[in-house]
Amino acid sequence: MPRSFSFSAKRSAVAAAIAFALGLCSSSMADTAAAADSSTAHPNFSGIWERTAKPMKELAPPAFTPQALKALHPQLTPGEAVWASHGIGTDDANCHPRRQPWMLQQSVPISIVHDGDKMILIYEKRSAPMHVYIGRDQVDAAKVSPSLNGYSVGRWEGDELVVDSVGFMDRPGHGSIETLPFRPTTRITQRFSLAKNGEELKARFTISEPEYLDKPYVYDYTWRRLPYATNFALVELCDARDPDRLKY
Amino acid sequence: MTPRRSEAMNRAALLGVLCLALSSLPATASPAADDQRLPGLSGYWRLKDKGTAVPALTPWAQAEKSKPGHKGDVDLESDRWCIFQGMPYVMDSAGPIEIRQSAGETIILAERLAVPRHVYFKLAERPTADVFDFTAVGLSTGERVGDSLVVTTDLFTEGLGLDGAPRTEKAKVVERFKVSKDGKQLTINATWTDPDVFKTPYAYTWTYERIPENYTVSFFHCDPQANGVGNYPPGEDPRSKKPE
Repeated sequence: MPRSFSFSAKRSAVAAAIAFALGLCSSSMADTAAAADSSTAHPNFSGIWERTAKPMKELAPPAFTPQALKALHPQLTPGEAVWASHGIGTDDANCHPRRQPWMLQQSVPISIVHDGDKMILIYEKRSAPMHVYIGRDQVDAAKVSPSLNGYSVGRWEGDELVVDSVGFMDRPGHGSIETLPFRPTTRITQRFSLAKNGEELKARFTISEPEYLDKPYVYDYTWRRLPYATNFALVELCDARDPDRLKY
Repeated sequence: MTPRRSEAMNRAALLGVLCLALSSLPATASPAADDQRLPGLSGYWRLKDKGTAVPALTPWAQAEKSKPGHKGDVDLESDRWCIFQGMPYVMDSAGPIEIRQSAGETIILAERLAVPRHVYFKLAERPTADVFDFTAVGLSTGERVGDSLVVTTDLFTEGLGLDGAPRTEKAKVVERFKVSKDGKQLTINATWTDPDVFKTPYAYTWTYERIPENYTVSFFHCDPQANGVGNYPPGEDPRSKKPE
């Protein structure tokens, strides 16, 4: 038997549905509303961001030089070869912190706090934060004290934040592309923008390295916003003293 | 027979339409009225004064504190092994600190190897111990109260606490962040409770001075091998080689 509602009952039901929807959507809406900082005309990239199901779109495969192909397959010592055969690298064995761009592209979400002229990007596991100084001029890479994530400055081009990083320290482990080492001439540029009304974060990565790449390697990457209401950082404290790290 | 949409499906459809409509509101909507950010708190800060408060430690905590292996709140072995340390090291010896705020969280970073602190504003409910993996910085939530930001933190791992006293999983700290009117000074009034460590709640005030905004954060490079420890591939540990 079909149910019938009185007008007031229907009105109440609709009101309840709206209230319920507001409750479900409100946390996401609040996060999205914060995507526009009222104190500035520019977008705000703060949030907890998780990569989408198919996050990476290469514009073209990396054009490696012969030196790069050699660097991608370095000669290992006998001990390193033993470790490598069990998936152990020197960086993992010694808990070296992760860095960009690798740390921004993992399955674990990243946190971004974008506050005025400073933006900080954090990978939740064993990371070195990436500091972006918006509005500063870029400096000569040779004069920068090398660091894992480089020295990053940002500038606005419309609604895009263009982040330019130089001055990378070379350490074992995840490199600019696969395991390619960082060089003093490595440069990484990201063009950050918001899409889908602030629910998606996009970045076009351009990696330049004259010694290893015949032309800049360019790809797009997309993250989706996670609500603050139900998400928090999952910290991984890496302890190199833990004998399990070296078990095989 | 034409299948009929169930009531649940209709409800889901209605919800979807409402969510879609609500989410299509312009992103330029004014900030939420419940904005918890504290004006003037963002920036770089250097610890200037730790006051004179002294904790009343339990006998067990006093015994633990008297053991070697630490310098204040720095765990010396962890330092050599480049292990990220937590509270209170983040706010003390790991500095200077940087504080940045967004609508959803405030983040506190230190230059040395310290776990970042996330102070969340919008968690629908505080996670319990069965869903949150205890960490060295615990879980922090914040609330703006008048001219202060009040941060409550618990769910800590065991480790090194204040001035070399232990920190246990029972520890809880409430911090009240307040910025001076001229914006140059930050005071944090903190109260720690931990029945295993403190006979009575331990309250103190730390004062920080602002570092100009043109400051550049130093990258603190730490490598266990360079510190004479660390792991080496099998048969390649230089420490095990006999001198010729």
